[in-house]
Amino acid sequence: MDDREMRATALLDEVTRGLVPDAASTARLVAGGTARGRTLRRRRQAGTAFAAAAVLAVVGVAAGLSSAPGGGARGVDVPAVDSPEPAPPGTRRVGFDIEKGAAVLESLLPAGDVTRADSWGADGERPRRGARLLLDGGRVSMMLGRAAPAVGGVEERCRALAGADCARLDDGSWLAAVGGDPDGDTVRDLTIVHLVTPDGWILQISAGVGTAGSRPVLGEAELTRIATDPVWFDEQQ
Amino acid sequence: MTTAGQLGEFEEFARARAPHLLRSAWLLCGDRHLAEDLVQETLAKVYVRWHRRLGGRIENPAAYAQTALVRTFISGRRRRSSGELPYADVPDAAGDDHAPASELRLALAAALDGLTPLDRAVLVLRYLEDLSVAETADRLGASPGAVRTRSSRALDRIRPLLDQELVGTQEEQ
Repeated sequence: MDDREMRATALLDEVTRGLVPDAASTARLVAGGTARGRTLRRRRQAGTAFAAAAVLAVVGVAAGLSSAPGGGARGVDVPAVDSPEPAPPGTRRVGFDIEKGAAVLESLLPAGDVTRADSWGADGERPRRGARLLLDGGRVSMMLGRAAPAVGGVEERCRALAGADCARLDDGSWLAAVGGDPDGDTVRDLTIVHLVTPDGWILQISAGVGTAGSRPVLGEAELTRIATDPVWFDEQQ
Repeated sequence: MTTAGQLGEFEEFARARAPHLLRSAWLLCGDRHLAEDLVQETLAKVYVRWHRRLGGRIENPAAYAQTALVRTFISGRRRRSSGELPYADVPDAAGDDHAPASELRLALAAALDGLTPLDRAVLVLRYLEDLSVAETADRLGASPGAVRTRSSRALDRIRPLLDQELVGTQEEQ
């Protein structure tokens, strides 16, 4: 390793050292990973059972079937990579055009100085929308897209996404707020509200610090109000 | 069936390894929120492998998790490029970190912004994990030559920051 490479190692170590999570954040990461792992395991077991049944139906043999374990490599056990899955069809369409994302988000915010508004997204088979802006210097962002298909219900999908318990809403959607205080009175540096709908949409609204010295401008209650606003979907579909 | 012992062992491993995985994930994603999402997805895959009945124990769980992290990142980027993942497309911004990011961190994130996912993966494995070219190539399923090329490209990208570091070191001396 030459001098430049050693300096690169030192730089990466220094820059990321401050990112080490505290005990509570580590516990949240582990809980989220474990919850997703359980979901993934069940999904794979269900997929394996389905594949085995299909093969048995065609070939008519009941023995000698085994799945290839993990694609090992030299020295290190190498994990398999999931292949992309097609998203399930939705019953509602997105209620606004790609370029309107930031404007829609802004329309739901309290009055304030909005700067650096940006929208992006895609249409077609897997539509998605995204927007972000600064409100009085605080960061607010929105992401909307199709949920990947999964074994399990909407609640399980929500829990896996948020890494936290979700609450059921009247319309059958499930929602979780992560990062903020439970009573919604106090905002922290980053709060995210995750919403998963019965027809397969994921909507995330987040608020955090933006410009230097700024504070998050929205708490859990406001983020929840925004996430559950009907503006995001075309209810006529 | 998953025993309490297995779950305890996995959680113990995950708690010990998550902080390091998060550091790598941030270098890959350039964003705290996305990095945490990547770590959770990685831990989920390790969980599945950990509790698999066939195939025996993971020989080197830390290496397995690190490789899962970079492969999941690369795979996720491919999926996003085809419009698959809806919630991981937020470009980096100062406001995404839980704590105010240092100027150096922001500068590094900006410098890495134009790199391909594979270049970032090589950077992490070579210079944060301190793996050799051969080990990095093995983990990524790439040739040693490709790893050298990507390493050089990544280093070129962060050269201004390295030079700044060098200046700082010299002044201190």
